[in-house]
Amino acid sequence: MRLALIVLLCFVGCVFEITGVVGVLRMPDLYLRVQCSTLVGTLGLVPLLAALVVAEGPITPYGGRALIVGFLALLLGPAAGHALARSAHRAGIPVHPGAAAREQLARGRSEED
Amino acid sequence: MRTIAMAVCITQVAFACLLLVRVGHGPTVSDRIVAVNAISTQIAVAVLFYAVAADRVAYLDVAIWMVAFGYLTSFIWSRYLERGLL
Repeated sequence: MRLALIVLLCFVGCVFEITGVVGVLRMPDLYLRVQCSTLVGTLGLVPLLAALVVAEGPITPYGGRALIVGFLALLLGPAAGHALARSAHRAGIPVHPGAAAREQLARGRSEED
Repeated sequence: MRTIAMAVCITQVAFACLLLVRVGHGPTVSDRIVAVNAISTQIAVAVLFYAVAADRVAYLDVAIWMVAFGYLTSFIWSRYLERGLL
């Protein structure tokens, strides 16, 4: 039962990670790639670390370190993604022509200048 | 458990190798930084699972440092980009 839970959590994490990796490779725009990269860092990471905690227990060295890594990743990952997207927007990297927020982003850029 | 941990470790390294395509091909510097950010996260998880597979507690601290410094580098790169220094 416990082994089945571990395998299921590992499978879910790997499915989310392959989704994020394919997104980083195939998305047409930098901002969409940032979103997929953050998906890898949060939603793909958490089930794998949960599998490690379930397998080894939360107080053991392995489970405790997995909890620390998960805390750091959940704290810093979205912040790093936001900083990257913000710096790319400030540096003037173009938005994909089909993006819904294209006009809003262009307006924000002209107001900043 | 060791077999599962080794399988997850190898899967993570394979995904990181796939992301290297974006690092080499990415049209702008920001694309490369995004891919390197995802790679650093995946390598940290790979090290964590390899520690379980090899039964070495000492490798776990490597994973913590790796995840912390991976995000720190992406912050620093984005600061450089924002000031237009790159």
